[in-house]
Amino acid sequence: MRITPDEIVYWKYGFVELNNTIVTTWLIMLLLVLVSLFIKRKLTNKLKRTRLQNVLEIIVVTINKQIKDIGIKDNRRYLGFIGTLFLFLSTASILTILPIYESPTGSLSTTTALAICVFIAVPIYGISQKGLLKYLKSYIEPTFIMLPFNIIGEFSRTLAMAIRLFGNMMSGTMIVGILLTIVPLFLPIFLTVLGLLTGLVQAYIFTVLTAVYIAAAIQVTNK
Amino acid sequence: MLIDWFTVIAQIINFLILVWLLKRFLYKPILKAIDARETLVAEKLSSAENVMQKAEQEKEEYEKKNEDIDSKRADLIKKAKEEAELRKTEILDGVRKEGEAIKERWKKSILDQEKFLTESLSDQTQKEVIEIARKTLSDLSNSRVEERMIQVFISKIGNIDKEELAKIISDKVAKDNKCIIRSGFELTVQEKAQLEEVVKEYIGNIEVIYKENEADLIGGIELTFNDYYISWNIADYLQDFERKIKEHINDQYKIQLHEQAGIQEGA
Repeated sequence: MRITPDEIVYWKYGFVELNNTIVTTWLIMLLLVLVSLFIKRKLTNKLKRTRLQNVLEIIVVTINKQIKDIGIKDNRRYLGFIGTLFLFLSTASILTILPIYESPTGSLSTTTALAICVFIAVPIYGISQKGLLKYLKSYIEPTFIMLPFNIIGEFSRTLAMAIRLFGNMMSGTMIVGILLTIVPLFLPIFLTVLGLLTGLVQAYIFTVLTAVYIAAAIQVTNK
Repeated sequence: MLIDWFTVIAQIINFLILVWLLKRFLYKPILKAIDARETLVAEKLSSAENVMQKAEQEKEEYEKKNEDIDSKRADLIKKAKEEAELRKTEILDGVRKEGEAIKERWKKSILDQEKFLTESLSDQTQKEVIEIARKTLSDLSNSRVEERMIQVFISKIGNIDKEELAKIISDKVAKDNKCIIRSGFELTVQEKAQLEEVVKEYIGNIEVIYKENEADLIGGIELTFNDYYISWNIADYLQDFERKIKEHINDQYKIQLHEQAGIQEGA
């Protein structure tokens, strides 16, 4: 029984190793980019368009709207980061219905990497929006005493994000694995479906939390 | 160890690459397409609104035009009716006048006919009467009708009051010393001598001038002495006869005219 797909290593040369997580991530990237290119080729701004374009438009517009609803006015600026997070995480979750597939989000390395991206992106967005001083000032608000708590909060929430996603994705696979040994028929299917739902919910939660953090970081300007 | 730091770094790079790729190949083109479509839709809506406004405007214009046409048509019909009425009156007047003229002409022609008939009848009657008288006289007394006329004429002169005659003569003789005897027929020498004798006896020894075959004296003889004249004329009798015939004809024609007029009015 594996806890993380990092353990499957296809190729290794010293420090560098090509494990299942990285390969799966590349496949997901390839899938997303290919679909995008396919759509882009047939993209039209006329009133009549393909069904696939319609689906992608709905997805993009919905993400955009969600970002806006959270309170980010300049939503298109953050669509690339937040939208990609959601598309990557949800694709990774949906693909778990494939038999031999193991989600890269079931690896703590991936979730940590994403959490680190958010951890770095939030202050970058905050500083670019408000300026360095104003951003740093937000750590001593409402009083100076709150500075350590704010810093701890910053780290802990990043950690929480990484572990929450990892735990959920990993547990789904784990539970199915355990149940297969006890009740081999039917029940694992329902749990897979449940896992699919959990994965999508987690993708949504991760994305929304990221949006909320970014919104919090840039909110002063919005006031 | 659950975290493999190489994988973490690789995943961070992977994610950043994915962000860039999706931005380039998905978000930007799709948002661009959506924006373009929204602009297109907005343009179409606004152009549709413009078209609607234009259509509305045109509709109003056409309605106005229709109203104008309707009112113009009503005017034209009214005018045409008036003209037709006028024309009708004119035509009726013309017909009436023409009718009157025809009636007049008809009346005139009837009168002319009547006159012609009367005249020819009167001429014919005179001739016939004289002829009858001539025949009768020649049959009965073996003498000319003219001869009898002269006899009657002479006796008529003889019947004149002598005093009155003398008075006239005393006034007239000094003035003119002749008298004129006109007759509708030829006088024989004996008759002329008889007449001259009578003139000599009653008027005096004056010259007698004869005018024979006078057309207006069909069966008559006349003596003119200055303004004074004595005559015997069958025309005197005939005039009376003619008057009676005329009266009779007039009565007949009056009845006919009356009937004709009644028919015309009825039509």
